[in-house]
Amino acid sequence: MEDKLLVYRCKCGSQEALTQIYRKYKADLLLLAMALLNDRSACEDVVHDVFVSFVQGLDGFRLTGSLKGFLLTCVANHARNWNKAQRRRSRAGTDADTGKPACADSPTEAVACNEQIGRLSGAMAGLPFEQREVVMLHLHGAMTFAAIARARQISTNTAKSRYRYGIDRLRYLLNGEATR
Amino acid sequence: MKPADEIKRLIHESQITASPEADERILCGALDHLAKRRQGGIAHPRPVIWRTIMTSKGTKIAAAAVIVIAAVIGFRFFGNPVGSTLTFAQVIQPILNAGTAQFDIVIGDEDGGAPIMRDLVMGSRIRRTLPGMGDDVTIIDLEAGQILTFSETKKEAQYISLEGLPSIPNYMENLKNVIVMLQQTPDFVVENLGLQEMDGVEVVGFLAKHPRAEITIWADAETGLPVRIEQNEGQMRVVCKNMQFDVPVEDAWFSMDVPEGYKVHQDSTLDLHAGTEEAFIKGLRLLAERFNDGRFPDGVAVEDYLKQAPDVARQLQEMDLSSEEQIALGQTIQNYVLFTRFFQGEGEWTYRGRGVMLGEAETPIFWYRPKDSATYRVIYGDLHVEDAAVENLPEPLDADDVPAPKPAYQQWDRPEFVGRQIDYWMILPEGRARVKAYLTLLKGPQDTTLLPVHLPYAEAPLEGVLLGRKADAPVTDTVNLPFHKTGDGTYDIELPIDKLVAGRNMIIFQWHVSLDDLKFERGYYMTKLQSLVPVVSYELKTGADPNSGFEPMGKTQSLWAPAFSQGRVDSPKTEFGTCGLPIRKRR
Repeated sequence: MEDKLLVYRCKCGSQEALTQIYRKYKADLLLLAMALLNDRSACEDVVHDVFVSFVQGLDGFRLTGSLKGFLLTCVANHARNWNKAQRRRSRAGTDADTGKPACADSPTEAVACNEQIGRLSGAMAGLPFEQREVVMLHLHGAMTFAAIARARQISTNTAKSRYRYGIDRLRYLLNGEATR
Repeated sequence: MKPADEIKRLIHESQITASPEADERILCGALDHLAKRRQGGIAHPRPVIWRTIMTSKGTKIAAAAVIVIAAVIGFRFFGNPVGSTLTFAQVIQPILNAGTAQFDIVIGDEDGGAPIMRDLVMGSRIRRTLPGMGDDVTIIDLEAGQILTFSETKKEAQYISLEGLPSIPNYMENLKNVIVMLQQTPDFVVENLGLQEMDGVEVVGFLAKHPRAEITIWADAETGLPVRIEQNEGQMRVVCKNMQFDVPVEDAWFSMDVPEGYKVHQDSTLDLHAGTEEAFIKGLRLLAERFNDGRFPDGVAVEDYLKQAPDVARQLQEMDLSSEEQIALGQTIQNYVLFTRFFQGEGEWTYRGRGVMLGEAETPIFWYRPKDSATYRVIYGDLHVEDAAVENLPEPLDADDVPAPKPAYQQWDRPEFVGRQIDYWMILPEGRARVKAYLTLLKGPQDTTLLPVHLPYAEAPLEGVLLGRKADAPVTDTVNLPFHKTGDGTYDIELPIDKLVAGRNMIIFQWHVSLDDLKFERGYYMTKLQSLVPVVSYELKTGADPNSGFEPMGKTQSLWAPAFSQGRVDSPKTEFGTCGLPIRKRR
């Protein structure tokens, strides 16, 4: 009910309600974006875009499930788009790799990560994007495979297999275990 | 360990934080869009107030409280006739004699769009409709403490049990009882407001005052029939207008049976005592957090809520809340409304929450004095509560908060005198106490000018009697009153009735008591608590002359230390038991 009320107040133009939603879920959203993109600037941009889209779509928006699940799915969508765009830029050679470590601090980067997220996002970077998002939405967003499948427009079995492959690969990357 | 456990733990331990600058960067785009959206104007049409309220389950519940509490107000206090061509007795006679009645009730400001409730009254039942609200009907059974509310269009009905309302077998009969009871109340007075013109009709007005309420009743000067009643009870204003008496009605209009074919919703309960401070704070938080962008409402009275209710109802409708969620919200609001409606504190409450943001811990938004409490409760903007002495209140009591002047002396048709009394005991050297009893006479018989009094100690003779200018004020202009001993400790005082009626109704009696005549128990000199005449309140205070060898017990900065205090009593009396004088030998 809390989230429904906040969404309603946003619909009425309440900046405070929007800020409340952001504060409530920002850690989860930034973590997902970071795990999917392994780039702090990009994760900041993605969450920014998610909130802009959220406000733009408020008129027709109707909250039927959890707001957190909805926003996490939005982050995953925007992250995928960002990922695709990044690949296009790389192919076109317009975005040279600066060799900057993913979690290095700079004066303009005020999104701070601990050591664990460095390990997580580093390992995630070794997975195909599709596996990353299923792993994160399931383990971090607590979304069921059926819900992920609906959001991704894939079958539930596909979601499950992406998850399984993703977990195996992550364990290998984190522990050096052999993949099956 | 499952394959995913390690990953899960790593995710759990992962932390990412954004600085305020990053927050600003991330949110700025969304906030800009929101601001543009707001500037674009999301106008909500302001619909018919009751329609909006009653179409939302949540506010309908809260509205039920308003609808019901209005049932037990309207006309509660009427009084004695006073000299006039058209007397107050004549004006209230149609009400007293009526078997049925019809009238409109408005809570709050009539010109401010306050909703109207139309009542038909028969016996213990009220049929209440809401003009402009189509066919929604509420039948209130005051005897059974139950409400039936139904909609003919929707074919839906619901029963609501009323808790905390005394059983009222007959509404009109109850009004008569209230009138009789009030006529016996010492503090009840009636003023004639004279002739005025109202809607082109010449009307005569009477203002009936009671410590807890003021009623103004306007009657057609030609027919003598009441046309309008205004009541200020606490901080709530209610107007009854378009009054008609003995209107023809049918029993079926007041039936508590649900018509056949109606869907009956689950019963609910309205507890009129549920308006606690805690419930009030919960409602304040809800209204600020959910419905007002974090700001407290402009006002917290019933009429303020009625103004806010359509917006609340509209928001609830648009929130897609489940039925259970709406009911939970409605009950929170209902109990919030009940707090100020059935305010249980002393005097008036003060609200300063308009424009204050929830969380402003330093800003007091509401304060009141609970019943029988010496201190006030102050609620702050973060909704924490502190106790405060009157001198530490956020604002000094303004003119409106200062108690109204005490009514002048009135004569009634009962044989006894009634007053209020404060005794001051000053401990003097040589083990004596000088007692001054300040008696404020409120009412007395019509056929005598002799006031019989009975002193608590027969061996302590009455030494003098003075008539003061006004009650509860320093005596600067006094008149000696003659008195005669009539028995052991009993005296008759000769009263100048004309002076009493003119407001000089405080009489000061003096006598001396030897402390040796008092029982000494467990370190205290025990004294009788006995007033001179039947009183509605009684106090005793003590002081000690510096040369007396005594001093007041405890810390007191006042000359007088309270020894006993009995506020308003249900019926006047003279015996209040005994108490120990709070004095001790000077150390």
